[in-house]
Amino acid sequence: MAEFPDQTLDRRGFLKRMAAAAAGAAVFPAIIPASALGRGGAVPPSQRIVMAGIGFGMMGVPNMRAFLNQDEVQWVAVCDLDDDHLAAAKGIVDNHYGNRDCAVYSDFRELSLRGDLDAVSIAVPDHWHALLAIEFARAGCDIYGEKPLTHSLAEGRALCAAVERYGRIWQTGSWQRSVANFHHAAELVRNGRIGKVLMIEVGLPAGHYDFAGTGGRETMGPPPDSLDYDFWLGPAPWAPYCPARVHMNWRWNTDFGGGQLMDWVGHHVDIAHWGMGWDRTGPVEIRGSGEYPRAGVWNSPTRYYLTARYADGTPMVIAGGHGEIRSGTRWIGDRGWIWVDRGDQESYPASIWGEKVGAEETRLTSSRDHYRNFLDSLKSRRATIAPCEVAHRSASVGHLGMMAIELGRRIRWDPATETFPGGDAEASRLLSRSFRSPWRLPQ
Amino acid sequence: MPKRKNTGIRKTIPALVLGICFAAWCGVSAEAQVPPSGGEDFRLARILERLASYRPQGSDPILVSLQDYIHRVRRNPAALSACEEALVAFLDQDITSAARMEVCRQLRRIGTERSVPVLSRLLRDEDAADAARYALEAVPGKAAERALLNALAESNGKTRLGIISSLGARGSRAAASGLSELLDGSDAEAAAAAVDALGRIESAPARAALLRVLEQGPENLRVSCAGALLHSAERARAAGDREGAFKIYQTVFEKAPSGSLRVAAFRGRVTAAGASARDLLFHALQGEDRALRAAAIPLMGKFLSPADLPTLAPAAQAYSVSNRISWLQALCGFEGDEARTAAADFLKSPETEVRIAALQALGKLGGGEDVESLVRHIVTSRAEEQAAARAALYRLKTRSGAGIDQAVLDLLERGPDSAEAVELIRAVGIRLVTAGRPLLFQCLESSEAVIRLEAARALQLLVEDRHGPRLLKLLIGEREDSIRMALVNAAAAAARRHTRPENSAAAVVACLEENHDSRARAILFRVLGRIGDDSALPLVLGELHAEDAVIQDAAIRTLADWPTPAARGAQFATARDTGSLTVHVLCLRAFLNSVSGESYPSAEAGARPLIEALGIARRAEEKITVLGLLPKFPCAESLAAAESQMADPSVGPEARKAAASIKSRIE
Repeated sequence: MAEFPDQTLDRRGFLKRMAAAAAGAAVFPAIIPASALGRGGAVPPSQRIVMAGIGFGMMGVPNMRAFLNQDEVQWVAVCDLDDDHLAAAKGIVDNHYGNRDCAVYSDFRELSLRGDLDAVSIAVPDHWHALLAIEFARAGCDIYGEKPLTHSLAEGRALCAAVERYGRIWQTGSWQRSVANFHHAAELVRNGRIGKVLMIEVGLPAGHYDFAGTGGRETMGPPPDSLDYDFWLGPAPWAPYCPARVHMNWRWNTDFGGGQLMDWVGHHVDIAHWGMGWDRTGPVEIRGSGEYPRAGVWNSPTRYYLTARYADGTPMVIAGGHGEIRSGTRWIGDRGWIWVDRGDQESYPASIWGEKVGAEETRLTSSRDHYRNFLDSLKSRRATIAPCEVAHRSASVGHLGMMAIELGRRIRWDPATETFPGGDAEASRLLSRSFRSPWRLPQ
Repeated sequence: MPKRKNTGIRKTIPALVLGICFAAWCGVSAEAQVPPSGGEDFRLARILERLASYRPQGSDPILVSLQDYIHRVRRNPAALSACEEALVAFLDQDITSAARMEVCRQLRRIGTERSVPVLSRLLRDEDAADAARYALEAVPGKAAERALLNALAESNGKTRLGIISSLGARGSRAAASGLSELLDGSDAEAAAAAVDALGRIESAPARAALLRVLEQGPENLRVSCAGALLHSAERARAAGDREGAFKIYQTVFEKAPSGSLRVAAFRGRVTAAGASARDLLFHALQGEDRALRAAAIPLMGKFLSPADLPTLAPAAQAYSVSNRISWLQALCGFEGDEARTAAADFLKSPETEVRIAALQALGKLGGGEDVESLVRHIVTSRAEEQAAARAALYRLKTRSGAGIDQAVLDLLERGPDSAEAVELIRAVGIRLVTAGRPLLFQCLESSEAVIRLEAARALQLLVEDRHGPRLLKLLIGEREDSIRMALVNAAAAAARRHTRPENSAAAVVACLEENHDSRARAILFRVLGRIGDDSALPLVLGELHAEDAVIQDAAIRTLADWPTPAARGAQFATARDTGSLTVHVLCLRAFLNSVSGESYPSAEAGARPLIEALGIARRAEEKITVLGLLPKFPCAESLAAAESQMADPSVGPEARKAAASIKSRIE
């Protein structure tokens, strides 16, 4: 595809070997096991969903395993810039099907040109989200993408427009929507069980968690041979390689991720929005404060406190590292409150939680399997439980919060036009990020 | 850019910064805000002096110092202006690329036209161009745009690609002509970048250039060109130029280089077509093009009326499975009988998936007239399909007339067979049909156990306090165990809805006083255990050592069921002192349930009851439960408790895991 720079596609002998193995399987007649065509061969070809995955450094693997467990999915390819991740991902697929057919790609553009993909699962660092997703949407793929939706507000709007433009089905990895207690909590709130909601509290994690065990390894040096580091940096500003900057821990550097706030905003704020019926809007005002590390590669806020206000005047507090705001989502109403978190929930009065939501009341979309919901939507062409626009609105709270922290003042926001009332030239500069050449956002 | 010598940098930067700050301050009006102190000037100078040789080695706090400085002066126009001057001057010095990038990041936030000349110079340096663009893209005003435009003509390679993208990001109309020229040039990558940039520029020449490429341009540009045009059409439509948008969509539809782009253009065409959208959709829905049909179905709800559905429905019967499912989902966007009928047509489809989708649609579109067919569907289907039919029955909404709930009751009163009656009774409960209470009480007198059982379950959802005595009477008379337990729950539910919670067990206590039969008293105790009225707890405690084994067993089980913390002490004591392993397990589990659900002022307070429980636990199962709970309360005591079990072979692994978890949380 001409709009991207050339990259060496078979840059490693390793890749050549794997590609050759996969190609060989395609060239020579072979008895294809039924399991490779959908579990037990029970799903007819017309109903199979051909999938591939991009990014296997963290969520990509569990996402792929979940899809492999779905009968109609036929996983045909994996793509990653790290040969080690790629080999591991291919191994999982080949082991699942009992063959060596899974194709490997180091360049997502090559994968997008295959033409036989129904859907892709994308689990790459945040700074790649929009670029990859738009590319695959334009190629006609439905997408399961990780949260936060994008790395900037402008990218989020561009991605939503592209998903709409190409009529794609989108599922965000905000899987809490497919868990019973979150669904029940949101339905209770939506149906007025706690009365008029006066305030919402959202507690998120604080600090930096050393996912990869590379914390503190900040001595710059050459990247490992297995990683195409310049490609990994992609549209982000150039920075020298060090282990702490990349795999799993990239999220703590603001060129690639947004720290705990952006990692979790797509979970607990998303649930808060769901309960309030704010899936397609956002705050009208936000202010906040944060604490940042004084040095080091990990430069995202370690402690933060945001107060957002919505159009009806309801405030939402979003905090990380403030003990008084309990982890999870709590809606406080004039007749009681409901709190919900992973595996736990409470209400006051306690009886509220036991209440049922009747047929004549507002019922929220129900899903008990986030991956299944994506595949069902892919067939019915109806929105998933966590579509692109909804994820954009959840993420927008985090993006605006980061801006408010950076500017050290209150920001006013018009969620209908996604602009700052009165212009606010200072904040407008933070809406987007520049892409390092030659990368750019497709349309 | 040629490298400058670093000689004297430590002297020149402070002098330069001080000079600029002083000059800037002298130049501002008296109305300006509080001036930066001399200390501020020196501070920036010191920061820049150190920043000049900055290399990202991890522990250097200099970047944060610069950010903090700018944050501090942000509200002071004079100081901010002086700061910008200093940063601009700094960029002209011999500095590391990391320092340059950091300064350009800051200029992206605060830079004005004053920054443009130096950024413009940096644009010509391949190593510095990305950093310069990072700032220039966001600097407002014509000067920044001009700088990018001027550099466009003089640059090449990656630098030029970046400049093209930045002009696109700025939506620079002035760049349209220059970018259009690149489309015909020999640099294929520049042409591709220009296509993307032109798609972001709102101008007729930009659009015309893209249309020309789509129609006559090389194959490798046409995909991105079509995408750019679709983007352009969306902007035209949003601006109210529906006709203009339609023309673009039409061209992309005709010339699209790929199926997905053609379908996208079709969707756009429909949305911009106004009154003719209906014709376009009809053509696609009744045509042979599968891709267009699939794209048209989700658009039906927006552009078609219910009256169109009968005409389209016959064609839909021949769609593929996925398109039929999609069609049924689309029907949910309509209201009225036409959509309902169209959905019901698919209830007899040969494919289970389609029938399930039809049931889901009927759940949203159906009315009272569908109750009977849904009930029949439930009793004649299995597994997922049966669940879908049930969900549809439970979700039917009253749109007009007598309503669904009345239809359910009418059908139940007509005396259907027992399988259907069971489903109807269940629907009465789940739909919270309060008018169905009398009928449910009648069902409790049925000779068929399944009817009685379902009625008791449904009543659990519907009863009020006043129904308590009647339920208790029925409970005492009931002989079937499963129905008795359902009635226990229903009677407890009635009691819990008492307006005075402290008196909610009054009806049960009164009944206990009247009844002396052991079996009746035993079952009444079980009701007490589900209510949780602490005023009745002494009654239970008094029977823990009853001579009558039936009563004693009921009292122990009631204690184990007791839902409030008031029973905790007795639960613990009974678990500790009993000679019966069953009683021990029942009471200890109840105690653990009770203590684990509470909030504590400290980890130590939370750990204490768990440690006590660990001390009396007789089986590995309960010890493992405690070890699983201990990490919720990380403290020295919980750690010691976990470690004390590590040598026990039956719980050693769990104890080690708990200890490790507690330790990590303490740290």
